[in-house]
Parts: sequence; C-alpha cells; structure tokens
Amino acid sequence: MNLRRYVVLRLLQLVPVTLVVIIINFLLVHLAPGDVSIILAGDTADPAYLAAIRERYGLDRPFLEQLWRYLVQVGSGDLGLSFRSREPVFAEIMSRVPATLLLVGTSLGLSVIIGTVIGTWIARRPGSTTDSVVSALAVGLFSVPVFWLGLMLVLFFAVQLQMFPAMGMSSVDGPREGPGRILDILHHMVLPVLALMTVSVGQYVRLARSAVAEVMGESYITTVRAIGFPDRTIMMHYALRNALLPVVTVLGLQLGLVLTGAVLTETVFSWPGLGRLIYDAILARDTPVIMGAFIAMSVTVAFASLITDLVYAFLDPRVTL
Amino acid sequence: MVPALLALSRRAAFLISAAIVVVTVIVAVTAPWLPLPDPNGMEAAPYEPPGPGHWLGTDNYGRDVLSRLAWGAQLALIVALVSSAIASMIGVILGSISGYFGGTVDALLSRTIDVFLLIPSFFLVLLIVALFGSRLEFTMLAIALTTWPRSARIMRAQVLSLKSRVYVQAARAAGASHSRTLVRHIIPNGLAPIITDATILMGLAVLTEAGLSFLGLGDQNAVSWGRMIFDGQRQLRIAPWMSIFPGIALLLLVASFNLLGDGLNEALNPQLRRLVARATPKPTMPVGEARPATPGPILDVSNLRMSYRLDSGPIMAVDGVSFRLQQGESLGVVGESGCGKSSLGAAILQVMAPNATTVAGDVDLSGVPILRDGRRVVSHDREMIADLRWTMAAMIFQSAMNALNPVIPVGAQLTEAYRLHRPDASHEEALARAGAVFDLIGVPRERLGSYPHELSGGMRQRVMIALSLLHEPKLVIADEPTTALDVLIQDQILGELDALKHQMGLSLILISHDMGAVAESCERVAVMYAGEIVEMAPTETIFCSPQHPYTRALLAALPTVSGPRRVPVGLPGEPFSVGETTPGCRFAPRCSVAQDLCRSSRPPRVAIGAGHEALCHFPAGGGA
Amino acid sequence: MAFSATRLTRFCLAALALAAVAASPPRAQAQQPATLVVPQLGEPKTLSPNFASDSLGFAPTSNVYSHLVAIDWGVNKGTGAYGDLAESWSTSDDGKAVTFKLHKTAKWHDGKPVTSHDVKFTFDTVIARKYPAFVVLKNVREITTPDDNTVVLHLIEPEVGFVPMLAQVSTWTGKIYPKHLWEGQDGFDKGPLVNAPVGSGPFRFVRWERGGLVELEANKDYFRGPPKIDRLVFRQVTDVNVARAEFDSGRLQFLNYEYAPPLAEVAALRRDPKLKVVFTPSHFSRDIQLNLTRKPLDKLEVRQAIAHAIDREAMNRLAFSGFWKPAVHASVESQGELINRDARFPAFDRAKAEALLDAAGLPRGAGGWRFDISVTNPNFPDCKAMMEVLVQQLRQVGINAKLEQFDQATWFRRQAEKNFDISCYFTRYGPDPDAFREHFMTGGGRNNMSYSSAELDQLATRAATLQNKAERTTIYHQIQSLIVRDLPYINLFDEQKTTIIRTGWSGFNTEPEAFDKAITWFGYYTVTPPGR
Repeated sequence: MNLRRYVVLRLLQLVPVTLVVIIINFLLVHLAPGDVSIILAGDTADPAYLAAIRERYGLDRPFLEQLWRYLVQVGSGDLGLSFRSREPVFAEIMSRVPATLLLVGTSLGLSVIIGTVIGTWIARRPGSTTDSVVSALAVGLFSVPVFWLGLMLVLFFAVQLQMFPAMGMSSVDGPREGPGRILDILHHMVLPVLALMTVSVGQYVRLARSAVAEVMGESYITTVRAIGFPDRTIMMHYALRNALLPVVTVLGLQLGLVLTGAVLTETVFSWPGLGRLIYDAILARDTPVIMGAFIAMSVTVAFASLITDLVYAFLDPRVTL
Repeated sequence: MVPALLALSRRAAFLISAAIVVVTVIVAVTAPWLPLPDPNGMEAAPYEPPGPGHWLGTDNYGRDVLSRLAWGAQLALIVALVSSAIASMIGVILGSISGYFGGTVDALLSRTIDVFLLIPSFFLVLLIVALFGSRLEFTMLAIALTTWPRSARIMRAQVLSLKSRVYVQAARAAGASHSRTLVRHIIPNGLAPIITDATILMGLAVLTEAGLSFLGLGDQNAVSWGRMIFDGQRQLRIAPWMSIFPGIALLLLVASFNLLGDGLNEALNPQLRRLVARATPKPTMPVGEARPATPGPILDVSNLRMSYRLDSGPIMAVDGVSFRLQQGESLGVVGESGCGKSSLGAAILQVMAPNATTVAGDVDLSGVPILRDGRRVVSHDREMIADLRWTMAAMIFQSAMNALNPVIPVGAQLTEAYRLHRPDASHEEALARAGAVFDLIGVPRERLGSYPHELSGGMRQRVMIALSLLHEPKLVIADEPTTALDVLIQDQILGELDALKHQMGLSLILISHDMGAVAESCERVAVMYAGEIVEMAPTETIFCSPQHPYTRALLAALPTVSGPRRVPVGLPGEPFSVGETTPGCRFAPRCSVAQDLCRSSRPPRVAIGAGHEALCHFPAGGGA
Repeated sequence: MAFSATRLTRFCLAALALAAVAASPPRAQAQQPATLVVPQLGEPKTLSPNFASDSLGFAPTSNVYSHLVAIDWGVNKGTGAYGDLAESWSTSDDGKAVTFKLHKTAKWHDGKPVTSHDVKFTFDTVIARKYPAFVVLKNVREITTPDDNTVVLHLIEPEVGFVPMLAQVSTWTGKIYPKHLWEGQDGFDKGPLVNAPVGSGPFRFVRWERGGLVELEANKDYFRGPPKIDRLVFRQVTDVNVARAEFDSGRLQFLNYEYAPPLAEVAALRRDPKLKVVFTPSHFSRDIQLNLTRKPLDKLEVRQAIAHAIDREAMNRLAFSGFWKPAVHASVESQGELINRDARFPAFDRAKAEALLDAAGLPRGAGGWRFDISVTNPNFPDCKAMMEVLVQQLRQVGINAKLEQFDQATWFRRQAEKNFDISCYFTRYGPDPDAFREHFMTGGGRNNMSYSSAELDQLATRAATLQNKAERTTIYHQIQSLIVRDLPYINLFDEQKTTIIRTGWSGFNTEPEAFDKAITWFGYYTVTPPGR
C-alpha cells in the first residue's frame, strides 16, 4: 500500500480520537464540583466577581454550547488561553514538551537499549540461575514505586555523595545558553532519568528475553548454526534483529504508560514537564490547559504508535502497511 | 536429580510469589481477628522503634505499624481485585461482543478500544480522583475505567480465534443463540489469558493507588500502604521503619502479582515452557593436532546416543545408532515421525535443540574426529566440527519457510554464509557464487533480492538447497526436503537433488518418512524405529526382501503403482514412545508376529546379507 | 555479548561522570552575588496578583510590587499595619475619609515616579471589576488625588479596621500597578505585563522559567535602599522530602513552613549549629467549624459534647510533638488584651461528653456508635495532622467520625455551599478584631457554620465603628463569651509557622528582627546573606 496514503489515513484517525478525548474530559471537568472561578477569586470573593469570571471564561453558558464553542475553537487550531496565566495554551504546553520529551525519551531509549541487551544476554541460557535471578529482578524493578525509588536516589546521590542535583532541570546559577547549558541540563537529568529508567527497564529485559529465547528456538537459527556462524554473531545479528520486533511493538504501546510514570518522577525531581502542568491544571480547574494537554498527549501517543508501525514494517518485510 | 532441581528452581519464583499472595490474602481476611492493636488507635507512644511491644514500631501518631500493615493488605487486595475485576469484566464483555459479531460492531468497538488505549490512563485516573474526591471507590473505578481496553483487546483476539472452532460451529448449528454461544462456549474457553493479564492488572492497580497517595490523592480513611510510604517518607530521619516496611510489603505484593502472571502465562503457553528446558552439554574433548582429512568413509557414526531433556524427564531420541557412509554414497533414513531420524541428522552436525545433548558415541567426518563418547572434539580451543560445517557437510532443513530468516533477503543470507567461510571474498564474489548456485538449482537470479515470504514453496526449498551447496560440501544431509510441497514439486526437487548428487559427487543422507522418495534417490536405506536403526540394507534388498516386521509394515502401507504417497497408515497401535522402557523389543507391542521372547529380551543385531542387517529376534517373520 | 554490555555500561558511566564534572556549579565565593532560593510547592498561576487568588504567585509578586500599606508577622507586636508606599495616613474625625501621604522617592522599575494616580487607578479598577481586594475596598465610595503624593479614600461607612484590613489583604492582592503601563488594558488579566510584572518593589522581575522558577534581581533604586541579596529565586520543589534533602545538602538556605520537617525532629535540629529553628505565631488559629444546619450538630449539647471530647494536649503531642500552643479561648495569644480569658471552651472530659450525648438522645447503638459524622480536611498539612487525631478522639466517645479530604477548589466550594459536617478551619482574629464579623456575624463571608446570633450581630456592628479602644475591647470580650457559649466553632490551637534557616542567613520575615520591615508575609526585602 502506498506509504503516504497510509500515513494520511492514520493521521485522519486522529480526528475521532481527539473528539472522544475532548468529550470525555470536558464532561469530567464539567461534572466535577468546583470551578476555576473559586480558585481565582479566593474563598471570600464577591459573588459578582465569581460571576464575572464565569462570564469572561464562558463558564456561565450551557454545557453543550461550551463544548461546541470549544470544538469549533480547536477545529480552527486554537487551544485557547489558560484560565490562570492568561497565556496561549499551545505556548504553555510547548514550553513543557521539551522537558518531558527529554526525560521520557532518554529514559525510554536507555531502557530499551539496556533492557534488550540484558534480556538478550540472559536469553542465551534460559532456565539458568543467572536467568532466573535477573528475570525475577526485572520483575522486582517494575514493581518499585517510582516516587520511593526517586527519594532513595536523591538521598544517596544528591545528599550522601553530592554528585547530582535533585531539583529542576537547570541550576539557578547555570549558564543560560551554549554547551554549558547542555551540560547543566545533562547533569540535572541523571537522577530523574535513572529513576524512570529503572522502573521501566525490567519490562524490556523480560520482553527481550522471551523474544530472543523464542527466536533462538526457530528453525532459521538452527540453519545459521549449521552454517557455522559463531554464537555471538547469531545472537547479535540474527536473533536480536528478529527479537526486536515485539520490543518495538510494546515500545509504541508503552509510551502512554511512561508518560504516566513521568508525572510522579516530575514531582519528585521538580522536573518542569507536561505531567506537572496537567497536575497543576487539574487542581486549578484550568480547563483549557487540561484539555490541551490531554489532546497533546493523546496525539503524541498516536504518533508514537504510527511510527512504531512504520518501524515495524521496516524491520519485518512480511508486514505490509 | 539435576533436572528436577532445575525445574524446581524455575518454579521457585512462581511458588514464592504464590505463597506471598496467599499469605497476604490470609492476613487481609483475618486482620480483624488477629491479636493486633487497632490500626487507627493512637494509644502507644509515637515513634517507637521496632521492638517486643510493637514488632514493626509505631508511627508518628503512635499507631502500630504491623497492624496498619495487616489492614493495609486488606485494602491493597480490595483495590487489586475490584479494579481488575471490573476492568476484566468490561473488557470481556466488550471484547467478546466485538470479536464475535465482527463487522460494524467490531469496527466501532475496536476504534473505541484504540482511543482509550491512546489516553494516558494515569492522567485520567488523576483527573477523576482529583475532580470527584479522593475516595477509594472512585480510585478503583477510575483504575478500572482506564485499564479495561487491555482486557478487551485480548478477549477480542481470543474470540476471533475461537469462533471458528468446530465445537462453536457445532453449537451454532445445533441452534444455540448468539448470547448462549458466547456465554457457554466462547467466553469460558477464552478466559485463560484474561486471568493472566488480570494478575498483572492487580499489580498495576496497587501501584496506581500508591502513586495517587503520593500525589496527596489517597483515601484519608483507608489504611493504605501507599499512604504509609508517603507519610513515612517525611519521617524518614526519625522513624525509617514507617516507610520501609510498607515499602517492602508493596514491592513484594506487586512483584508477586507480576511473577504470578508470568508463571500462569508460561503454564498456559507451552511454547514458552519449552524454552525453559535446556540440557547441559557434555564437556568437550581436547586433542592435540587436528588430523587432516583422510580418504575412507565420508561419515562414520558409531553408537551415537542423543537425549532430550523434557519436563517429564530425559528421553533418548537417538539410541545407539551406527553406520558408515562412503564418498558419493547416498543413504535414506526412514521412519515414522518421532522415531529420531531428524535428531540423528542434527546430532551428526551438532546443531541440536537447546534441550538436547549427545550423551555417547563417536562421529568422524571425512576422517576427522568430531565427536568422541558424545563429547565434541576440540583442537586448539576450536571445535573440529566448526571448520567442517557447511564446507564439508551441509544440511537441507525441512520447511524452508521456517529455516530461512524471514527478515533478510535470501541473497543476503547466501552471501553472508559464503563470506563466513571465505572471509577474504568480496561482496561481489559472494554474490557471484550465490548466483551460480541459484543457476545450478534453477532459481532465477533476480530472486536474490526477495524475502522468503515472497517466494513460492518450491522456490524457497530450492533456495535452501542452493544455500547448502554454497561451499560445495562433500556431504549433504537433507531433512525431509520436500515435506509440505505438492507432489509435482516434490518429484521435481528430488530429481534435481539426485542429478546434483551425481554431478557433484555428493554423499547424501536423505531423511524422510516417505519410502517412495527414498527408493528413488538412495542406494541404501536405514529404517529407524524408536531411536534405533531396526534394519539397514541396499535399497533393492529392503524393497525386495525386508526382514524386520516394521519395515514390512511400512512397505505394506506404501500405495502401489503411481498412487499418491502418504504417511504410512494402518499400522496397528501407537508408536513406541522413546521415553518408555522395555526389557524386550521396542516394536513388540505393535508387531503382528511378536512372541514371548520379543517382549522379554532385547533383540540382537543380525547380519543377513551383504550390507544387510536387522534388529530382530525373528527376522523375516519368525523364519527361525 | 557480555563484553558489549560491560563496554556500554562503562561508556555510560564515563559520560555521566563527564557531565557531572563539567556541570558542577562553581563553588560560591566571597565576591559571588548573593542569591536566595525560595522553594515553592508548585507553579504560580499568574504573575498578576490583582485578579487571581494565587498563593504561589503572591510570593514573587509581593517582592516586585509595592503596596499602599502592609503588615507582616510583626502584627504580633501590636502593630496593625505600617506604610509601604504610604509614608503616613490619617482618618477624618467622622471616620469616613482616610488620607494617605505617599513616599516621594518611590519609583517604578522603568524609572517613572510612583504617584497617587497609580493608587487611584489600581483601586478604581479593583472596585469596578470586583477583583478579590474588593472584599475590603467595597466600603470605598470614592478615591480622590489632591496632589501627586496624596490619595484620599472616602468610605461609605466609618470602619475602624479599614487600614489594617487593607494591609492584611495587600499581603495577597490589591498591589499597586503602574497606571502608565496598564491604562487601556481590559482588566488586570490582559496585556503584556500579566506575566512580566513591572512594579516598584525591592526586586525587579527577570524571568519566569515555566515549571521551574521565577527569578528576580535586586532593585538598586528601591526607595528604602537596595536589598542585601542580589538575586531572589522562587524555585519549584514539588516534593517536600527532596526539598529537605536539598536543604541538608546545602543547596537551599532555608525551608519555609510548607516544607518544615516533622516537629519531632525539632529537638535534634536545635542541637545542630548549622541551622536555626524559628517558630512564628500569627493572628490565625487552627480550629474546627461545626455546621449548625446539620443534625445532630444543631443541638448545643452535641457541640458541647464534642468540645468535651477533644483532648488538646494529646492532639498537640501526636500531631505537633507538643510544640504548638493549645487554644482554649475564642482568640489567639497574639491578640493580647483583646482576649477574654474568662471565656473558655469546655474542657476535656470524656465522661461528661458521653453523658451529654446520652442526654441529647444519642445513646450508643450498634457497634457502639451514636451517629456518623464526617470531618473535612482542606489538605493543609497541619489540619491533616489535627483532624487525623480528632477523628480518633470523637470515635472514643462513640461518634463514628470519618475523614474526608478535598483539594482546594472542591473544599472552598463545599464550605461555601455549607456542604460539610465538621471542617478544619483557620479563623482570623487580627489585624483588627473586626475580623469577628467576617467569621461569626449572620451571613458573614466566612461564617460557613450558618451561625446566627442577633446579640452578636448587634455588638459586632457597633464595635466596627467605635474609636474608643477600651470600649471596643469590652464588646469583643462579650462576643467571645457568646461564641464560647454557642459553640459554632471550637478553637484548638494558635497557628504557628516553623521555619528552618541556615546559620549565617538572617532577616527572614518569620524572624522577630524582620517584623514590620520585611514588607508582607511573602517579603524577602530584609533577608541578609552571611557576611553582609
């Protein structure tokens, strides 16, 4: 099938997805007690001001009208203004996206690489003591609450060893641009990435292990063994490549889950990411930001799954798009 | 002993995790009756370290940590069970409806499932709980509402595969309604993976609840491990026990749920279980200098024994096989499936499955010792067989679809194999050689860039043959090279193989269940039964005067004249299982002429004529 | 395979180490500009403090903007309010006009002078749009500006507590905006200055790194003289435990009350020469409001029983390790003479509580419970600790109490809708005792209890207009007697803030030396770094 047509079709599917996401969230926020007017006006505010805020933000209109107005607005590519900071939601989200992408992307990338390497390594001898221990450890790792792990890392690396900072993405005194800034951010990234990576790496260890072990039992591996390829070549060149397929699939599906882990990690390390933005927005009933962020995240996940499918098709010639 | 221990250690994780879950359940259920203080009671002194009065210490309000841990177990299990039960239920219902009815219903539901999978679930939980209050009911409902698509997807796939099953079709044909068919016949049979996934969901639910507690959105009235950890973290410097114990408990329970899920998955999925078994290979046997190849038999196999390690114990698939093959000679190895003929081929080239090992026997390939007493012969840290694979002896595997790597173009598979043994060869040379063998076997050169799945079955098998001929080996072991191909192609390929044999002076071992195929291309035939060669003779002799009752039975099952060749049928009884032991002849239970002697003592190997021997008390039907 | 794994690990470690070495911030030196990092639990909503109630935004904006009058924790020394932009003020004899004289040297951060027109513009806008500061300014009829340095607020009704209340509110909102920059904007939530404030305070706005920090720098031209720190950074530290770790590791110079360690640690902390622990009282209490419209709380005996059931000493020990001051009067210690020491809440007496409940027709029933009740907690750490104990104490007299917790928005809404049984609350008694009206008068803004006493209404209304201090005091004593008799709320503790400060740093607004100088509860003007 024509690649461009496929991509366009898949992107078109984003429309109903966005629609459902909007409706679900709009409904939830609308049904919930409390709205932004109380947050902004404070608890002793004059009723007139509460009414004025509701009017200014269109909260005084019937639900369906609010929804319709919002849909029309989003349809025209405008996510609106934040109820709190009164700045464009799109800009607010974009100011947080790099931080989240950096954190999630790096830890996910490292998890996949390290997890696959370890998983492949233990798959050489399935059933061995090493395999049992490492597999159990992998399960243990993704059973650790990330906030607990985060604090432990802080106490050890930031307080005890004074090696890495534990708050934010850059230092107050740090350089604002150039390579110094990059190094500063890298330095701040170490602990949050380590925390997030630790809890997600186990998944890929298990996945790679079973995938490689399964591939190693395939006939074509027997063929290359018979041809005389050394074990390491077979493992790295043949088994790994075939075993990557399920890893790639899960990677796409898991992005949402990792974004999730990010809100807890972002909280522990005061990371200025999307997760915290949503959390703050929810507590402040900042509907435009909540909606915008949910849309952004769903679209990101959808894109990730599209890219996953493309990569899968590239890796596995049997798959046609 | 060793396998048993290994099997135990494999199950240890499963058993331990099951035990942890059981203990948690018991503690949770009996918490109200256990001799523990009120988990909310503030009678004791705050910050009391673990000691005889309070085994796990007290918290900042003087509440007993052990008691709170026990009550927390109750909450953890409620959260785990209720949220995963609701999620699974929604998933099962929507998934089976979607899979069963298909069409528009399926399209609609699948889309919905996809959309829900795209929404980061934790944030939805966060939204629901933050907006509607941090009550446990909301938390559980929110977790369920965001995780059901997982179960729905699994269920849908299950139903899709189940609804075409015979018994389901039968139920429909017998007039069962849709709902009855679904509820009675489909859902119960498709539940296994849902249950597996539910245990993973349980772990997820417990972690989610803990995460919400961390964000200050936990239920205030509930004694939850998540909250205990979170509250305890603040007191870490004065009362580390406050967060450490619930932390350990949470970790253990969630890990147990996950390990349990893994174990169930393995139990329900035999393919995964097979991977776990692995045989310990015998140590290698070093020799001084490698002897150069000498003239003589191309292959000399003596008393070769190979065993598989299975969960049920070891079985001997090749049990004392000896034969010689001269340069240019061809030998057919025939027998029913499971008789050990394919294992024999794998054992000669030492490419057995991971759970198989040669336990005894010698093999010499072209005069080079490669196996002594089941141990691989090593010279200068290099296995002798390593230098001979593919250059001296190559193999044609059955079902080329599986034997060729699906994600690499066939040409690349050939050139890589070529350059492995000729490291100095350029890519062009390798390509030229690949083209040359393609020519030889009649595959158009333009197929070099194709992937295996793009080729027809016959074409794939030819590619496999081309691959084996790459280095002009002296010996080719062809393991069922034509199975799964249609008859016309089978004949073509066998013919081509025969022609090549003569053209290149190949020695050939043709492993097949098909007497007819062997008759056409082999000079000698070895009949295998239950791991042993029961009769070996020149092809003509086997066909004209078969001595062993099994050989005769095989030949009797062969259709006459030009009828279609089939797997031998009509042999009475079940084939001997190689795992069984008997003091007598292994064929005796199925043998029409068996006598008491056959059942009580091992038959001797009787030489009948030139190159003709049989493993039988009464060759040629009790001719004694 | 194993080899590659090792190599990869080694590579990663090397890269990390390199990053660590290269990015290690330069150690502070004597000549280094002094930076104070203030940790904050979350992101400011906006940097325009006049349209939104936003405690996380008020912290930076209180240091960028000036106020007409201000108070801070110094109110405890008896000062109702002090001037910020106002150099002095006077009230007309009829109590209906307050005239403020402004400092002549105050300048906006863009160099323009601050004038009375800025004050009039700001307050007029607040009144017109009913912004949060309207709660005080609603008594203003008209604002006049006789000259550039004089502004007169004409009141509708005489109000003795007007200036202290204006100072109180100014801590949060009602900060003075520059007219020349804001004129023409559609309200204080529109335009380029919303999140890039230009004020006249001791610090200038530098940048707001979203999700990270708000950075301010010292205003060298500040009319009271430049602050002693060069840079003031409000940094988000969203996990209290991490903030504590960062304090321990020396990267934070102080921890304010939101991050205060458990009080059980205070004894150990006090022995640490590297830091000091500061307790700061306030004019708020920590108490519970009882919803008089809910059964059986409408019965006085039940409220009395609840009061008897409360053991403040035990609560203090469990929730605050004994470091707070139990409050038994309808006021807090900082109010001095205004406290009616004869009006006491019913003392702890469990037997009496049970007897009262029995008498009220609420005997122990199934499971030993008399009735169900929910205790609401607005997710403040100290409230949470107290309510946790309160629930247990109520349960001991047979009241089946359950905790419920809501986030701020929901809690505010539920309180306003009077949708609660018992809720933790923070009643205010200063800076002027007129605060009683807001909390206890029929229909008062914070009278969530639906308490209504004609006698109290009449007394409080009269006291608000009285200039004579002794006479006022008497009336407020009477009011306290009424409250203790009717029990619409039960006072539990004087509110107390805990701050820990690294040795060498001084002048924080919670320290007595900075009272009346720090400029609002969020002010850091007086903070002095080590060696200055």
